[in-house]
Amino acid sequence: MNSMIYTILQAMFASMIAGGLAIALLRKYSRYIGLIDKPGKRKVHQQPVPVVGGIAIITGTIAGLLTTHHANLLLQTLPALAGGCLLLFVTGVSDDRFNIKPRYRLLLQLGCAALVAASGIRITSLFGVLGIDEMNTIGQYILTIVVITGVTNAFNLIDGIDGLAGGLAIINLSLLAVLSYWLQQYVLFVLLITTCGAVFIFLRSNVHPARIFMGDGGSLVLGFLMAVAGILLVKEEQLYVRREDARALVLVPAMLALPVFDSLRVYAGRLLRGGSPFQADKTHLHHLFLGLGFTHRKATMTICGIQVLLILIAMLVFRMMDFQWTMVLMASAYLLICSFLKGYISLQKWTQTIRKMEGVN
Amino acid sequence: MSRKKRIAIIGTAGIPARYGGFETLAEQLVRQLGDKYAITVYCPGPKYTKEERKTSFQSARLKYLPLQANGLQSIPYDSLSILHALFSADVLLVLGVAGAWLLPFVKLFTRKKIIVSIDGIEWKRAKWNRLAKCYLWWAEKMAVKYSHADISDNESIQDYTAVRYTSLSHIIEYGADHTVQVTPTAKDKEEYPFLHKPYAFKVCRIEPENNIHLVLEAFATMPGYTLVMIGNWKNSEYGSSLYLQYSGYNNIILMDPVYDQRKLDVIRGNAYLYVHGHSAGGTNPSLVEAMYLGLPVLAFDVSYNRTTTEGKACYFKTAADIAAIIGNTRLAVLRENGFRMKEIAHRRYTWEVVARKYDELVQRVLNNKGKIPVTPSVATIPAEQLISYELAHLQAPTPFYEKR
Repeated sequence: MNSMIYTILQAMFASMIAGGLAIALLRKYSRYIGLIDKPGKRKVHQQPVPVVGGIAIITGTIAGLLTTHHANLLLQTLPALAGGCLLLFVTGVSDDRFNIKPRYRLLLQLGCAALVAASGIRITSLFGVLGIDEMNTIGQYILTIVVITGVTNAFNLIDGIDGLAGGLAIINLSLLAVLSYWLQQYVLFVLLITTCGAVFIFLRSNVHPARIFMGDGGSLVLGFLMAVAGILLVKEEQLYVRREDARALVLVPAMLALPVFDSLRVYAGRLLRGGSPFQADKTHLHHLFLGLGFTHRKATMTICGIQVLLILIAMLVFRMMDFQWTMVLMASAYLLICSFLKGYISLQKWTQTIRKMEGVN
Repeated sequence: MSRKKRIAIIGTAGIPARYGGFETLAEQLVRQLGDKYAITVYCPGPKYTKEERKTSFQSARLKYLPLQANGLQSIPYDSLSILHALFSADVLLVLGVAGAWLLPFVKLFTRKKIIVSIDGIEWKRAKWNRLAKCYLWWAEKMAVKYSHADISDNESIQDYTAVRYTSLSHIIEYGADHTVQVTPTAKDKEEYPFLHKPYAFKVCRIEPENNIHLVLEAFATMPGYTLVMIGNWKNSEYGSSLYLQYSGYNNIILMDPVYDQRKLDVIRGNAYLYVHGHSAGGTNPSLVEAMYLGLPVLAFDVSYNRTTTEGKACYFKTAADIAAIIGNTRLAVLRENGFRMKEIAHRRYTWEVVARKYDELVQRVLNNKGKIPVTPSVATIPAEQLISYELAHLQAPTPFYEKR
């Protein structure tokens, strides 16, 4: 136990310092590297901002792992996770710099997900959703790859306003860390804590007004990490813990619910409107809050608040209902919040229209 | 004709009417249409004591619910009334949109007819919080979309529903002939000493939307002109602070609500000017009542008031406007204004006219006519055909709600 505390402190310390240094350095030279996000039509920010957060987070994490010798352990026990993260990191940074075609990026994501699935980390059961429990191998592969890719992309999409991706990442990573400690997955635990430290340092420069962004390099890696860690923990838990006492089973979907439901809702909306699901528009949850006049800070805090609320609701409800209905309830709660927001925005627009109509005709 | 068609009136605070436009409307409909239809009116139990709860009023049946008709309880109040009425009425006349969430189900599963009266544009009012506004805004949509006919009490509101829902609302206003021109007796003059001299008058709920602060501000600068204002001052922070601020002035007389119709008519009918500050809510019963009594009107300049007074009254936007108009208008001009108001009210705002409109609407709804669309049928004729008939100018008709 003592050595564990020592390890964590060492890792976090190292990751924060390394991360901080990386941020300071990279901010200065980001222009020469070409990693700058210029404001554009569908962007929310007004000034060009260096997109170096991802590099900083990874650098910090690696530094933390190296100083505690956990890097070796990680490469030995979870090679697919480490390899996938690094590969996605390179992909993401390349996309930030050179704008890779979306299909290549998707291919690489699928590849990383396949790598993880092949290494044994798979979703093996649907735990009663739609009446399905254990699945056959092909099903496991397909589902795992789809889920990992989906979550990675969902997290990438939710990186839309200052502090949001970082905030959600900290909430999720710390919760995953607690779960991994509880399930005695110490290698994963140290990895998650270290990453938390690095994200924390990043957040200090990312809250509104943001001085750096995490870019695809950051969000893809974090999303991937959360997805794989989650799947691994649920699988481990299934071996040792009874369904009724399960915690990872309900908490992992709960913490991933918000980004995933949001992307699904946005895709569905775009399809319903007759366009492609990948065309850009401003219908994400954070856009809805901005449309209501929320500031970046308020919107980020509110969305993180909703995230915590969903997790709490899931914990509470799971005592009373089974897994399937817990999921249904959370989806409904999320959709309710969104309709309320959209309704209020529409209401505000109509108030303006009526005010005009009421002035002397 | 076998038995009379049954109408249920839902959403009022009970009859006999004590307070409020919907209640007076319900009472008058019972008086006027009670012979032709079998009417049931739903009332809030808590508002009446055991002795006061009659089972019928004139020819109408009264049903009591153990809920308040206003505020948050209006949702279950309206909903339960609708559910009960589904079993005992042919046409449901729902006043207010609190129970509108039930209407899609009613339209889908039953063959009862629904007429909804949207009471002004409720969701816009500052007195509601965000959650209430969202609910009312959605409920209004449900009410208009899933009713067989909807009623606006003002043309400006008809414009709004035309733009938002592309369907035509029926305009039915309020009657005012239940008010009586009362000559004050000596006893009245004793009770209300201001009856001896000319005074301007205003009666309304004390809310910021009724621009009471503007009127009080204006009269505070005109010590030579008296103002008598009746309202529920103590009910709100806004009211009590205004009361404290202005009750000290000699020419401003602030009174608590007067529920006796005769007393109200004495005070109101003998004013030389009626000031109407409402900025929301369509056709206001207090305004049409003042018009009926032949009072000259000085109203807040908003589309609803202009429509109600047919543009023939005096209008103000600021406190300075009030002072300017009152100070500079000759009494003769005001009197003429009053005659014009009286003419309008006697033509449009009598319960006979209103009840006849309701009667026609009920008949229309019972005969299954759908809602009238806002775009004229000319719009469906293809352009080439119009051109071939030399009627190309009908291609893009201006909708009625676009005022130039």
